[in-house]
Amino acid sequence: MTIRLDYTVPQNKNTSIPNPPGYLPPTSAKQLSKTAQPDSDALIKQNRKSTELKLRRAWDLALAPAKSLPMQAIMLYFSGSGIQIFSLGMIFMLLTGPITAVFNIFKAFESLRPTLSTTTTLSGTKKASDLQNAEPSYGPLAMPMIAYIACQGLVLALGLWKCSTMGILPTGSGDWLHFETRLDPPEWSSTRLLSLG
Amino acid sequence: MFGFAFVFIGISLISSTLALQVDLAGIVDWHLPLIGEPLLEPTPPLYVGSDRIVGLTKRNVLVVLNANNGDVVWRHQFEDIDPVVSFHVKDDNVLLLSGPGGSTARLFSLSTGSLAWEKPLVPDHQFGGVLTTPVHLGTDVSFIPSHDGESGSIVILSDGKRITKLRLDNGGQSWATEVPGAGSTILFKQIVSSGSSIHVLGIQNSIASQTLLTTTLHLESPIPKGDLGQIPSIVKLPEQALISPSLDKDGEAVVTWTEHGRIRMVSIKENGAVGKDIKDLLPGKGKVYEEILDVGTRRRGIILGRRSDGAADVINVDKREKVTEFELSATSTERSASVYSGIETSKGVLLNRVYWSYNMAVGVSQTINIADVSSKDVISSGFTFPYDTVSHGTFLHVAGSPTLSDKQLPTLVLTTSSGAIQRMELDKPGWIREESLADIKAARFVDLGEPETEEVREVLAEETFAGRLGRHLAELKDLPSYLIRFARRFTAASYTSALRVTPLNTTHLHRDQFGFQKLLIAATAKGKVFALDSSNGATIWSKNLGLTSEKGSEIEIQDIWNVRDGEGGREPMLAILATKTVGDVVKTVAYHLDAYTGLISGEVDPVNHLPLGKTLFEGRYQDAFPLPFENCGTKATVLAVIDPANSLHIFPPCKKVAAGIEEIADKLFYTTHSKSIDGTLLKGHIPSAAQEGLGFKGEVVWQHPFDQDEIILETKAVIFDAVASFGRVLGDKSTLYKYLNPHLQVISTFTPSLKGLSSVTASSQSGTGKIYVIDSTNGKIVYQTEIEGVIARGGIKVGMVENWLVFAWLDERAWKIASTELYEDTSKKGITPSQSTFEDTQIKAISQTFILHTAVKALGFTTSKAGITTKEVIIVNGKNQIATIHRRLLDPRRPVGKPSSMDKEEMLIPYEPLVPVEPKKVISHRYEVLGAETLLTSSALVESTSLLFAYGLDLFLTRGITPSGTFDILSDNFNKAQLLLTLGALSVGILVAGPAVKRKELKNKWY
Repeated sequence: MTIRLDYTVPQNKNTSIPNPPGYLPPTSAKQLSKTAQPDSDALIKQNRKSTELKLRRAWDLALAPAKSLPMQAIMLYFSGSGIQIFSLGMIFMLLTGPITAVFNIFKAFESLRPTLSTTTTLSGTKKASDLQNAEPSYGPLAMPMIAYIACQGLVLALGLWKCSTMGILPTGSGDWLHFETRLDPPEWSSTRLLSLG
Repeated sequence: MFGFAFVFIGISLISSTLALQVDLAGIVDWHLPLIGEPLLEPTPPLYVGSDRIVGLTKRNVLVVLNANNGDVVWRHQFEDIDPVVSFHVKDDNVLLLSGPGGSTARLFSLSTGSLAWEKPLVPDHQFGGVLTTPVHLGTDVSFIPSHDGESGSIVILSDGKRITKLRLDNGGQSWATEVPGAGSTILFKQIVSSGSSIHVLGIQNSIASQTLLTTTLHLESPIPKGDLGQIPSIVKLPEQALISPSLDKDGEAVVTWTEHGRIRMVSIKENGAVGKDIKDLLPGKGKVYEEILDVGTRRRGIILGRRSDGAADVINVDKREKVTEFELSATSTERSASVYSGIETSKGVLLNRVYWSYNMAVGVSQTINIADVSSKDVISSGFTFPYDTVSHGTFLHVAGSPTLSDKQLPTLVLTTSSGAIQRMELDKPGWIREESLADIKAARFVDLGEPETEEVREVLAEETFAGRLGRHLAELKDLPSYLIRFARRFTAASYTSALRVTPLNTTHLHRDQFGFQKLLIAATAKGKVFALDSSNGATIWSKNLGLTSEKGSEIEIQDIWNVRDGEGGREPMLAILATKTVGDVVKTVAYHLDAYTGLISGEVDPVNHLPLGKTLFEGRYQDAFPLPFENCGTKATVLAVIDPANSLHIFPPCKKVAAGIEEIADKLFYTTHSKSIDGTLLKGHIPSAAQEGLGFKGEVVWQHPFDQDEIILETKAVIFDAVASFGRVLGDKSTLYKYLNPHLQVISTFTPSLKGLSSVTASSQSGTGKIYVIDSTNGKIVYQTEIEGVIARGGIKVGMVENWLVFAWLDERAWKIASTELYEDTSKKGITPSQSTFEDTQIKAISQTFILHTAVKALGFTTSKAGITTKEVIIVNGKNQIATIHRRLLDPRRPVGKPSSMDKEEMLIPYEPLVPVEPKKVISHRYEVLGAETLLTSSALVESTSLLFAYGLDLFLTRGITPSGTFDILSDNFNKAQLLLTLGALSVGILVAGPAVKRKELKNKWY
């Protein structure tokens, strides 16, 4: 007989440490596959539980930038309004951070996608196979994602506000002065013509 | 507060980095000390010792030249209110009389030029003196030699009546008196000392004629020895009478004069009595003499008498006989009029005569050497010399050396009518000082092309492909040396080395890499045009436009313009406007000049080959300016010239341009001044109907009257080159838009206060100054201000660039400088200068006044290619130095009181009334630029640098003005070698580490 080493099985079966949520012991998974319809109710329950957990995590992730705002504000306050390498570095982080974060929003929320929970309203027979085949979806994460964008927007706003206090936002007419053009004066006078020769 | 300390420190650091370094002196600038045309009356240039020439000039300068090389040994320029009268040399002393009537005496050391003493001769309350014509009439000096160990002394006649005896060593006054009997009809003109007497020759005016009289004073005390001695004589001109000491009879003197074609003489006894022995020279020969000439040897008893046929006799007045005569000196068509001069030698005199021989076309010099005036021995000698009459005109004076060469020939120093001073010897023409450059009327910089492109253009024009291939192959042998040169230039080249440029000459007329080297065309008042190398001041070519003679010049150049640049392989062209005086007729003449060669296009005079130019109209022109049109043929900018009747003429005339002017006639404005009893009127015109041959008649569109007693001091046009920025950004990032108007004229006027109108105090007269900024298209006064308590002497110097107006004046306490900036009074976007000036623009003026430590003799601005570099004010200060003032110090927006955070944001320096003196901002460093009146600036190819040419008397040119630092040129201390080494080391590192890293990565993939 062949000896099969299975490191995944805990040595001590009587351990009191629970499995991580959503973790199915391989043996039970094997049994599951073998026995056609295991306890689907439990699965659904588990699924719902994990969905709830994921949503909660998603909200946490969405609100995390907002939570760090006061800290960042304090740091900005201490960095002063002078244009130095430190304050500029911070501002650079503040301005680029939210933008990259928003661009990578799907990646950030990828692991938190819940599998579709619409099946809960359908008949019990299909539930298990649906669960097996269901793709994780961003749909339920819409609200956290919007909140995430809004919070990143707040960070960006903080950065822009800092920029404006430092005077490096081109808001005044003076910032655009060098792009202004003028036509030649319409009249000729002896005084003006002196510059020709 | 600390912030501002930092700002100050920062500025001081900037200025130290911007300052000229010692090693740049003489490289970035040159200075040509000039003296002006020599004053020939009463004391013409005098050869002293073996190698010194002492002279006075029309520019109020006392100068000593080195006769060997023509360099200035020393010179002193005096103020305009203190005109030089005469100089008198005795041993190492040069006594200068100056002021009206010879009211001041100064003694200088001939060898060092240091002032030993200065003494006013006329008491203060008589300031002003007698105004005589010529000015030196009534002034004379007589040296009294020292004896018994006492210092020598001087007796000076000044003001036609006052005699002062001074000690020579310290100027201490022994006595002073007014000659008894001097009154309104008697003017004393000459003094001699002889023995214990001082004889004074005077002229008495009566109704019909002038008679001579003498008075004699005791040498030790101002007591007349007797009554006025009347000489029975009739004298027409005061110059035709002179007094000289008797050489053999101590204490006596001889008076010589011309009367009815005869030279008469009479002796004056030691006690002042007029001798009874009035004697004619050459009696019985009738009216022989026309005039007597004092050539500076009367104290030796030698004068010249010009006969009625023009010939000159040498006369010894002491012996009352004709000694000899100048050969061939009678007036003739074969030669020009002669110029005579004389110089005293140890016991005798040397007399020189020069003239131009029309036959032989050479200058001829004749010398009569009377080694001892008591003997009758005379040696005559002469030589001819080559001389360029077209370039230098006629002889005005000749100064001969007091010693002769072994061929019995003197060294001559000629003064010519073109304003040149030149040394002449047998077969050896010497140095030439072109003193007409002291009187430059106008100057222009002419940009030169790049050597490579110019040469390549020439070569490529006629070369086949095969030829070029062959040439390149042949040039391949130069590759190693080229590489070495390239490497050396790449590593060792610096700012200073780049500044060392090849001097220009007529075949090499190319610029350097930074565009510092230009051609400087200077037009002098006497009609001579010079092209100077801007890098060293050497003359490339010079050209005379007209003849000069003893009467002056027939051509008087007024102004020049660049009318064509050198782009596309053409020669740059300049237009010259001059007035030509022939008889009583004054005409305005225009010329076109090729800047590279000095050739003047158009017809030439068949006799003297001088250009004729194009006569535009009779009378002097009022104003001239370039037009925005090009001539169809020459592609030269057309010049508009305004004639005395306010009509507009064009030069060169062209129908196409005339049609173009008619098209824009309602948009073309020019101004003229007209003076009447009611004061000056400033009028604006537009050209209206064109008349055949008469130009466009001017139509008055506006006029601005000035007050009756308002004197216009200066009129300047706004400088409007490249505008880099249309506004000024404030601390809150809003913008103050500049009021940009290229039509502005700045006029400064002076109205004397009515109280002190006497002519005596004219120099210290005070009054009200006014500054007007007038738009010359519609006559609107854009800005106007009034200054109280202006002293007339200083004048009001104005200047305006873009929207920045600066003016300086002298008031009772100090020199002040005011800085005003004009802004558009709008919260919206700025509109000038694209908007028509006839539309309304609200203007806000911000101004501030500062106190200066120094006088302002002239005022100008720096310029740059793109206008990005800060514009600085350039002044000629009271020490005749050229200095710039930091732009930020003259900012009218400097906050008074505690600066706000916005002011700090703008880095404005808090207001302080005093503009500090910064020795580092003196750009003329050790040179004394005497008499600089005009500051001409031009931009280089590098944005940071401005070229400045100052002229007036001396010429000074610098290419070292960098108001914002040399930000576009690597400084000398930039370590190129280190940079190259670092780059090299890094490259080596990459080469070594690259394969190693690759190997390691490969290994990582295996395991």
